[in-house]
Amino acid sequence: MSFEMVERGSMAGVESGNSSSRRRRVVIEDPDADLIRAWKDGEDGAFEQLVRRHERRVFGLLMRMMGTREEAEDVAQETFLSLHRHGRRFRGESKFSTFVYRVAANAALNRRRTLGRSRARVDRLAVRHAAGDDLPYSPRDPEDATSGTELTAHVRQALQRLSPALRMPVVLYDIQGLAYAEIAEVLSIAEGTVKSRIHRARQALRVELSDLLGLNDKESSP
Amino acid sequence: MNHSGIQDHMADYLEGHLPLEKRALFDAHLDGCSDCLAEIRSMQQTLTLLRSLPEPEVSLGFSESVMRRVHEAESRVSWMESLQGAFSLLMNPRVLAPVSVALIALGIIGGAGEVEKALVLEVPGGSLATQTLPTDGAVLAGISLPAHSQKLAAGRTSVPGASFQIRLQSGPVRVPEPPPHLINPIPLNEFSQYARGFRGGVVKDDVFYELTEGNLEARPQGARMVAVPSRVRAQEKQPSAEEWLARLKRNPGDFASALSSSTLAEQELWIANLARHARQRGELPEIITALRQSPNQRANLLAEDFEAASRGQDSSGHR
Repeated sequence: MSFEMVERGSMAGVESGNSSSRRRRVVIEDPDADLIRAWKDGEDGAFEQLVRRHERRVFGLLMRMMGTREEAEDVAQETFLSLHRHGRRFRGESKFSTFVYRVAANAALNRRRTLGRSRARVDRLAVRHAAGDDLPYSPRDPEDATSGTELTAHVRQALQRLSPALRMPVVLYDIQGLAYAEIAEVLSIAEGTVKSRIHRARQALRVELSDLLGLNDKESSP
Repeated sequence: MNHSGIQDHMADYLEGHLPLEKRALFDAHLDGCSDCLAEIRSMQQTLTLLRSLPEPEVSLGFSESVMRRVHEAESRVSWMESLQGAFSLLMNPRVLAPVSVALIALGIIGGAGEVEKALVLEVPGGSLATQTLPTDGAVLAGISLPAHSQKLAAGRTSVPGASFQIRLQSGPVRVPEPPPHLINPIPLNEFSQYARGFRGGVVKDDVFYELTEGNLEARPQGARMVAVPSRVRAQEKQPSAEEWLARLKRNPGDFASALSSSTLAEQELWIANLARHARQRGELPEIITALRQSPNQRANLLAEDFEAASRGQDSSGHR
């Protein structure tokens, strides 16, 4: 079970600042291949190991998409249940992790479309944040340790204010570290669309956070 | 590079993906444009903030909780699989002959009696079959469904890979009286081998009578209603199981290739029937060896299928 992947360069000026702009294509074995085979063969515990291996990134994405721990965990569970139901049909045409992200992204977007009540709840939370309340994360969430910092809280709120269509690609790229091509595959949209949505999302975040950054922001594009 | 070029290439610049030449032009523009420089700097700070958000921790016991729900879901879906399995088996004469379906009627409104609930099987052609669902678990084509099938919420459910839809109709449901439309009596041991999809009919004395609108007044007394495969090629004279086994031994590769053009359900039926016949005649090891030694890969795979079918018959044969 192998696939082709495009390596990402680092961010100029933020990380190394002088990374190579050349992309390298490499063909590598899916790190989940053995577990997937074991799972398909009906081996006990193989699926649970896959859950453990992917729960952090699924939860990370869903936390940013859903806004609350409660909803993120609920959708994460749905994601893995759906994987268990349909995942045996996974044929290794992409990385398994890409497949997992796709299922999670669909679950998140479906949940947001169908559960108006949840949306209303998120909106109410946004009002509470504006009034100074913090997100009702579980106390053991490490984000709480830093949630007192204005910066972190503002960034989370700014992310929540983006539309799901813009938030999803920027979370997948800038937080989860996926490549453009992989995000295109996850969201079933063109790579160009991924890039432009990420750019629009970043611009919106920059404007949202400009006061906080204390920058003399120029909102209008030249 | 002008302002618009800066906007177009900002993402690639930030990622370090801009070719050297363009990067030089980009930098040259930034040197002389404080607006663009400010935007780039604020964007870099935004990304730094975004990328330094702490990773949320997954709750302790999350994977255990997922596995609990997986096991719950497995027991819930198993009845659906039973139903699909029941319909596959319905094509099997071994099951169909002693079929004890209480009432399965097809697409025709009539009526004698009411039940509390019914499974309604909708076939794409517009036919409709109803299966009564007793409260202590349904019986479909002689296959017991688990009692928790009662928990299925009312509403339409599609069955992946199946050619019909199922919905649970809450009662009271009028159960149609078998209509007197009969044609084509077909010996049971023949029709099911050459059929796809499902239609309705009745069975009496091991003969299946297909129901259509074209022929009236002929329903034999005491016939039982059954849902059956739709494309019945009753008039074709088909070789017997013994003849098929002889063909298989003579040329396993040809047999395997011909079989591969059938639907999966048909293939299962063929394999199950022929494995049973071969086993009864004590020819199963010989058949499996012939398939295994064939240069045809499909035949080699078929050998495993015959072994699996034989094991299944061993374990179900003493029920």
